[in-house]
Amino acid sequence: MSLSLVVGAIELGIIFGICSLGLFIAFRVLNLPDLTVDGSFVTGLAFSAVFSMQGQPLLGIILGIVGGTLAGIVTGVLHTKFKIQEILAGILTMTGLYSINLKIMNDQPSIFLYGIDTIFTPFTNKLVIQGVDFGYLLVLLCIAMLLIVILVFFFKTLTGLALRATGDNEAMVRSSSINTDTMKILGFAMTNAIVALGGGLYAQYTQTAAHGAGVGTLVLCCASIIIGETVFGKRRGMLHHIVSIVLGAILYRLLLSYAFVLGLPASDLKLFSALIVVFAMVLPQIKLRRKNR
Amino acid sequence: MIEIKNCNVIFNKNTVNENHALKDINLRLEDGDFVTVIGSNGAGKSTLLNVICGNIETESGEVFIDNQNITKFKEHKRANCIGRLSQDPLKGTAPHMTIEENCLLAYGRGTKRKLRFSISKEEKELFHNQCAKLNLGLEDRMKTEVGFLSGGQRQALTLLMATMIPPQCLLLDEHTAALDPKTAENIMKITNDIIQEYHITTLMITHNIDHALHYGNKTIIMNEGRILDIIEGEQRKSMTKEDVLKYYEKINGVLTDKQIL
Repeated sequence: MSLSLVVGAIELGIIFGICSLGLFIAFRVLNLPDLTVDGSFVTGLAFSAVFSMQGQPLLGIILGIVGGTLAGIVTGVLHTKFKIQEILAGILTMTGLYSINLKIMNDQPSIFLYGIDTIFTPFTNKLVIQGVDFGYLLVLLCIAMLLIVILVFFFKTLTGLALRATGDNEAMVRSSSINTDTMKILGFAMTNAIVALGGGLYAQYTQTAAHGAGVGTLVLCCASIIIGETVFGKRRGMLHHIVSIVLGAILYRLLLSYAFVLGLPASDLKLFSALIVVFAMVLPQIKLRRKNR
Repeated sequence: MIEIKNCNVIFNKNTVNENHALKDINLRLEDGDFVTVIGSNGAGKSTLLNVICGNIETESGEVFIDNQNITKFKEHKRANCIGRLSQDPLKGTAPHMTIEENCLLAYGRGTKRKLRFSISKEEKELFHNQCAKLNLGLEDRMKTEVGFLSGGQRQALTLLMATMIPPQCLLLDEHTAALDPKTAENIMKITNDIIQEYHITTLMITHNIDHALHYGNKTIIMNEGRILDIIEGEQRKSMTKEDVLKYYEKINGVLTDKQIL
């Protein structure tokens, strides 16, 4: 594997690591798998691409985050106020977003950003080592680190604590006079905001925005979370847990790149992701059964 | 003060399983009253507590705490002035969070949660001292996840959390029933100490008739969704376990007469 391939894998890994941090809030903290992410990823991607075309890449990403937040709030309200199961609520929002995302993209199924300024442009070809441009990596690394700092800080605040407790013991949280509905909506909103950020970065990084790019985001992020937790451990505090998820996403991308080098067709990516999640969830059960015998 | 006026609760209304769980309940607890509730299974004791907490719908009736009508308040809002313990020691604490974090959540009761850093030095000290009062060694394990504690320890912690900011009223639903007899005695003593210290208006359901008569200043006997009797004063002091059992037999006697009819 060449250096440029490794760097490319790490860069994509960071982008999906960011998405995984978003899903982490719904999936791990609140214990509510949120399928909205398949749609909000594209929302972020769409805003990012459309506004980059008009010379406003940063505004695109910010609007994407706003869009993701709104999508999360919709799912949260459907789930808490109207008592729709979280999976179904997520699917409903995701399905609705399918049309909305197309509208954002002016009914074009894909937008190409070749030769157009992105947030990465100012950093391109500034830091070239052995013929590989490290500028992209640096930008992404900074964004990821900023996000990690924000999240770790947030989970140390009283609101963050209440959010964690809501996923842990809802009845107890209510009896501490906290509105668990609000907490869940907040969690869904944060999840989708962060995933939309990942989508926005993805569009500008790959310089393409395909309307179908969001399919399987949930599974992809699940895979990253599970790999991170399995390899680097999770029961050693919030910072450790969060960092291990990003590392998991990077590791997963490196593995994938290697598999591509070995000849895995790119179209098998999603199947591969799904199998990894199945494998990671089944393996502990098989181990347990062996032990009980 | 807790007051319930003309309260009716009907489960599964207009179905074959219709169950009139509470019938025209009127009850008034004065400030500092510690009332024990006894009655056979299905008498409506827990339903009565749920009506006060607000996690079930009432058919009719109103609930007041300290003269404030809280009937329309949601559960989490009522929690501002109500502390509650259930029979299940696992229900009152968050298992994957540390003792300290659990305490902090309880300590935030009734205040607006802010985006400030979670725990200050003073709070740490306060929680440490509060836990030390329980005499269970919890104060040395503040960073331990609550899931690693025993049922008794968790129930004691729940009690501490429910009264961390003394609530206007405390509702105890057989909170010692799932514990071994020795731990149960210990938790009951701690409970009583805390109630006396902060002068909290308390409603306690129990199946332990000794506890029901020994603790508190009044005892309510419930049956089939009605309050049959409120025993207090001299009558209560002279009452023995046997008297209560006889009372139960009398109720059951009425029941059998009904069944015969």
